[in-house]
Amino acid sequence: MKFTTQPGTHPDAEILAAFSEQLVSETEREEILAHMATCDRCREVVFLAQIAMEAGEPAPVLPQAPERKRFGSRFANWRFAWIPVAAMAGVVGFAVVEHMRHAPAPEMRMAQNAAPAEMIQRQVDSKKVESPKPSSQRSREELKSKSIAPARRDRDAEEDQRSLDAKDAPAASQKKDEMATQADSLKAAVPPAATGGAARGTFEARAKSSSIGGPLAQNQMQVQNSAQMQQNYANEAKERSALSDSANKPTAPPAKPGAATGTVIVQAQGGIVPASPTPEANAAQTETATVLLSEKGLSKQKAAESALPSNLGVLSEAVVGTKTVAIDTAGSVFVSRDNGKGWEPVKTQWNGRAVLVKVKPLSGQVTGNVLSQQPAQFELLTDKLDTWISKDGRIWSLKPPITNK
Amino acid sequence: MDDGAPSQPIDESLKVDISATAVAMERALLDRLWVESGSASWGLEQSIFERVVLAAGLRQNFGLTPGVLAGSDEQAGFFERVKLADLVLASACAEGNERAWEHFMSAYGSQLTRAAIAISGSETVGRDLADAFYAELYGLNTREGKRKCPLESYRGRGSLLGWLRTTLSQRFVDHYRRTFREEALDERKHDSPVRADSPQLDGGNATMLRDAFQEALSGQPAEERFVLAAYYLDDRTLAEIGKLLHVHEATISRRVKKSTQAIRKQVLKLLETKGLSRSAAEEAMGTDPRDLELGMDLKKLLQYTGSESFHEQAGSGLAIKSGSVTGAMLADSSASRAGEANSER
Repeated sequence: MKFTTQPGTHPDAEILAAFSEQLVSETEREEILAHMATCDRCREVVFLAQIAMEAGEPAPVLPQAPERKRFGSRFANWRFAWIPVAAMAGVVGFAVVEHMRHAPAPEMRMAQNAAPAEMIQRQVDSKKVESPKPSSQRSREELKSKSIAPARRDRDAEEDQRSLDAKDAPAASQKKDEMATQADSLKAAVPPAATGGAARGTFEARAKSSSIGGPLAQNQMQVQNSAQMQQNYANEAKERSALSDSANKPTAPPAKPGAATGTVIVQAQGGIVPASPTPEANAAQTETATVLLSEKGLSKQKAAESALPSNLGVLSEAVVGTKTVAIDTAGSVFVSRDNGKGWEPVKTQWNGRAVLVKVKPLSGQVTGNVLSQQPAQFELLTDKLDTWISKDGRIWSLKPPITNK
Repeated sequence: MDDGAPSQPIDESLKVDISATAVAMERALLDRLWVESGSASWGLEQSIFERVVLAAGLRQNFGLTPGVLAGSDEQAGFFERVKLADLVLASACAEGNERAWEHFMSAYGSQLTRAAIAISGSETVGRDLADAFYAELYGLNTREGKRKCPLESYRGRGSLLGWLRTTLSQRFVDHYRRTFREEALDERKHDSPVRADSPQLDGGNATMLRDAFQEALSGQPAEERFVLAAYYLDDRTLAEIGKLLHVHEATISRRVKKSTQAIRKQVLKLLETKGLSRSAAEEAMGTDPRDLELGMDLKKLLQYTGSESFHEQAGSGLAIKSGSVTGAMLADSSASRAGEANSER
């Protein structure tokens, strides 16, 4: 193509269109540019053709470049819209953060919800025996939940305690004696003032909330209430009885922390754990409660559980030599002379119902230079707070009250 | 719309008898081109297609120099380099095939109308321009008693739509130039006052300045000269120039600034070489270009193409524009487009 060498000629439309579409060679491009640098007609033609191309739809044979341009221009029209959108997002995010920081109610609810979850987790995880943790080693979450809303938990515990006392007073009076006797061998794993009230208040809050607690939380609350009631009855019995030195002591020697005691799971059925004082609590017998028992007492109870003629559980038991005296959960007293292999019922010789039997330790009496040692005796405690003494377990005599001289 | 200006040579169509098709082109190539062109989709008969393809190939001698016999490989290579479908459609329309015209109007009719409106800037003028162009394409114009169709000159190098737009632009520009002398001149352009501080050069210094400017401008690459002309003479925006050259407008801005500074520096250097002092050269650079225009043939300096038709059409009105580019390049302190180039970046 030598159009520039031919005077009076211009690049034809074919060449100019090919130049606009970049379909010419480099040499031809230089020739066209050199011509258009001095030819305003051809410059105007190519610029008008470019305007026509931008005004019209993209040609079927040239779909790529115009579509890319339209795609880019579409986003270019929105590029400044991102600025206010980003600013609005920042403001909304800041407002949400500030609201979360200054809103106390949701935080309180979260703290309350933490304790039941921990209790449930503890029950699930405590299938194996483990030593009780001191209060200083409790989990951080428990302490945190306590420290967040102690006032509310205490208030809930008090209200819950009052309502339960008023509601269950008749039933509680009937069973308070056996509660008191069993309170010596059953210890709650956690102090009632520290965890019982707080957890019960939490359970109550969860039970009232259908979305949080539900039936499981209600059952847990009832079990917790029964445990609290049991300890209350035991404390009342201690205060009312004058046997602060013997009756309130456990049959087994005091358990040493971490040595002779352990945490076990006892199913709340049968006679080992007292029945719940409320009908509602009976429905929760399948729930578990964590108690402390001496290994010795537990083994004895298991051994003699099915040996009594009444086929009831052993409430209390004492052994002197080969003689064994046992009280079942109904208050009946049995005696065995062959280490519990055979049992004989003991005729009731006392007023009220037997609740505790124990062994009176050996006692010596000095007469001159001779020390006469008396054999061990059985002591039986009734719900009338009378103490009866027997050497063979068959014949019982009322022990005279101790008077201060 | 025949302006009579020899601005676009029209190639003579070559009529080839159908019986020569089998001889000139192999059957396998014709069959392959028939499938590739997709001409059957708009109803073209294969026999007509073969004749049209052969005529289009022979018209350009299959891309070879005249007199060289093209073999089958050259023929196949030629058709691979062209827009075969557009070439077949344009050739069929040029032959007056009705099916081809129907397809042409359905594919390009509305686009040509929109293009004409965009080119003219007026819907009325644009529709008139489009109607006149349809008539010309259809072959209503005759030359020496023969029907003359501009589509015969389409060679398939670029897209048919691009060719149509460019041809339409040519028609509009030629029509505008033909009727330019009949329109009233823009008084605002011509009556702008001459700067009072513009130095008046004598004939010798003016000639020296013209020669220095021409020499400095010719030392620039062709693309830089095109950019300067489009920017300073045609008042095209950086974006328009960038789109035409397929570069970013910021690139055009940098090139304008760089070229302007280079030309100014070169002109100062040439003026000093030819005996002017530094101060006199700088004073000459501040000369109002219209003074230069009055004192010499600056139109010829800036817009010389060697084209008689262009010289004939480039009237005195364009000389105003040619003065503006000189002032922009020469004047140092004037509010020229060079400053606009920096601000548009």
